[in-house]
Amino acid sequence: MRWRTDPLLVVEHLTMRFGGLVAVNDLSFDVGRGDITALIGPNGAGKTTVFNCITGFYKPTEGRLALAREGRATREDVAALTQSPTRNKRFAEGDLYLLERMPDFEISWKARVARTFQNIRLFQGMTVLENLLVAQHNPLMAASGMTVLGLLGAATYRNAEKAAIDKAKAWLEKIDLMDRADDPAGELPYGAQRRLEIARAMCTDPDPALPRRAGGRSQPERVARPKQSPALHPRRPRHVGPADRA
Amino acid sequence: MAASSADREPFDLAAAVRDAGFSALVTAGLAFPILALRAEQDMSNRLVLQERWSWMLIAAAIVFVGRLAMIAWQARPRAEAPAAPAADKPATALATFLSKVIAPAGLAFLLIFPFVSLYASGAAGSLKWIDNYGIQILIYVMLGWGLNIVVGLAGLLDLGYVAFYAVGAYSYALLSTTFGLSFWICLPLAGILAAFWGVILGFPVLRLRGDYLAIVTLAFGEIIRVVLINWTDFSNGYAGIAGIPRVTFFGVPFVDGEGGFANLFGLEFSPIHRTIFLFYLILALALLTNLVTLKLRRMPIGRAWEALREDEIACRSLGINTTNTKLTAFAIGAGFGGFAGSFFAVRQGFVSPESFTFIESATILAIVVLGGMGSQLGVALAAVIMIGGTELLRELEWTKQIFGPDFDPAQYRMLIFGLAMVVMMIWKPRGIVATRSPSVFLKERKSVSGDLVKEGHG
Ligand SMILES: Nc1ncnc2c1ncn2[C@@H]1O[C@H](COP(=O)(O)OP(=O)(O)OP(=O)(O)O)[C@@H](O)[C@H]1O
Ligand SMILES: [Mg+2]
Repeated sequence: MRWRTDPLLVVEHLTMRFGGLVAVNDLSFDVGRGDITALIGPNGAGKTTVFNCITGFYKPTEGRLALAREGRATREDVAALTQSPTRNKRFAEGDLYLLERMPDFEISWKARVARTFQNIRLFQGMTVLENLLVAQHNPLMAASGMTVLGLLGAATYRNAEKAAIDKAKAWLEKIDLMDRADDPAGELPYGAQRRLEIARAMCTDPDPALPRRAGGRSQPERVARPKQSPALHPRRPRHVGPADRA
Repeated sequence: MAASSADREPFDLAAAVRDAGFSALVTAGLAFPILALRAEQDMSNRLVLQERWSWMLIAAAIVFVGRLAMIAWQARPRAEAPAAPAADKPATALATFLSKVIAPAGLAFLLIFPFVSLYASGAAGSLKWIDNYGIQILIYVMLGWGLNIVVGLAGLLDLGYVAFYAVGAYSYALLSTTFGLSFWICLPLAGILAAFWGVILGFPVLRLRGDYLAIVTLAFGEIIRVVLINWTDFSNGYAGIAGIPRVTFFGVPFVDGEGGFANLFGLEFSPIHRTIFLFYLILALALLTNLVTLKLRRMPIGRAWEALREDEIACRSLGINTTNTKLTAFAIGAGFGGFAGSFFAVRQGFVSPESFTFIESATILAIVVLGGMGSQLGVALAAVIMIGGTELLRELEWTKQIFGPDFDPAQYRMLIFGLAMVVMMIWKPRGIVATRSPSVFLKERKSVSGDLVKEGHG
């Protein structure tokens, strides 16, 4: 029940309209740090749309998405950040981001939100290992001195690349795909592709509070329901775990 | 075409005849204005319409029979159809072996090529081989490699690549004639200027995707050409810029007499020296392009380009700034176009907007597509086939012996060439080298089948 005491993500009045169609209507919920949270609902309820708003692929029509990467987001801090023209700020209590103001790639890179997709989106023509290296683009790019140092064969870059490959290997071990590392991702069976997509998302170094705890006891789940479907009665939680598969 | 569905279904004569009949009908329709009707001037300069129905019917009949044969061939019983993937393996193994051999062998051949042709056909005869074939092909190899970064790796369809070639050529032409700068200073400047224009074009354009990007880049190519034509004060319009300083051997001019290259090295003066030097120069530039591209492919930026081609949305979900990534691809590709352009100017000694028409962009793009998008070796082979092929087709004098002395083979050059391209793309739809070589591997480098590799969408 950390969402009451230590919310990681605070979604308020999220509304997304596509022309006349209201896909998400005034949705508010909190996500607790370290909790496993799932969003469930019938087909077309707007789950994917919510995730697309959180990860910046859609700009919400209305609403506020405040993410506290470290520390806590107090009501006053969120209000202060909303007043200011910037998208993120360090407060005494924590590091706050307003996701609705950020472009999608910065939400991944700066706010450290990782996601997977409802229809798997791997780089099919690249190998499993390459997929995991692309996920580490930003740190590798910095280590390669914006490519210049890398082209000159600097040791810093070579070490960084080795570290990146080691990290990829660690994830390959976890998802049991070590012996397929050099195969194209598109040739993997569906289940393996799904695991690879999760590993790839994890290679972006998402905020440690966001990932599923591998093997850990699952926290009591909090389910947020889009408000436009109050009659919703889930048969079983459909998107548990890294719920951001939408 | 219907190939994939015909693959599995048994041969159905009625359907095949219907299909072939339809193709013949389309051919007849197309041939009607082109072949069946012909306007000719008679003695008194009047246009008379000649009707040549037999030509149209023959064309339709050829297509009918051909299509029927094609369907029959596709429907031929193939017992080992399910085993196809397994049968694929030796083929790819052969391909990787060949690619391991072809590249070094080709390079070795290129290194000795000027001397071989000099030995084989003398100073006068070898000029054609080194200049028309060697240098010309290498320019397109370099342009193909440059565009390969944009189209093949990053998957951005650029139909205006010739604009950067033009920027490079005019950079050298103007800088050298106005400020008297030497080629060796202008060469990097031309590359930088072209890259700069790549970024200028990139900023507004890269939010577009697919067809829209293609159209805008096409327009950009035309704009540059039209500006060069109309801004006479700057570029001297249609007349172009003549008297561009020729290439020197690192400061030693290729002239007859005292202080010239021949004199300095105790050789007898011959214009072939400059041509041979130009050959090695473009070879070096092309190899530089190749080297940089191969290195970049193994860098994070190169991987990001390819990831962008595979799936842009997934890239953004991984925190990759796709705008910057596209811009770098555009700028680096443009930069190599600029290098090639300044080489073009120093080789010709003359530039005019005529040299930078859309057909150039189309040719370079065709080289990249024919070669197999993203493959360095494929692009080089495609340039040899495309440019060498069109040059060879100029020499079709022997056809006169078949079709009579009135036959002008040069007129059919492009037709033959177009047909060859169509056949090529049906035979190898993913290009000459259809596999992708991974940029990194743990245990072994297995090439990725072209069927999995995306072509990009913008
Ligand atoms: N880009 C878009 N443009 C227009 N309408 C959209 C768009 N994306 C989603 N919608 C609409 O918004 C509504 C919610 O769709 P969404 O995909 O979010 O549902 P979902 O809960 O993820 O469904 P499912 O369980 O099938 O995945 C649907 O009516 C859908 O048609
Ligand atoms: Mg969905």
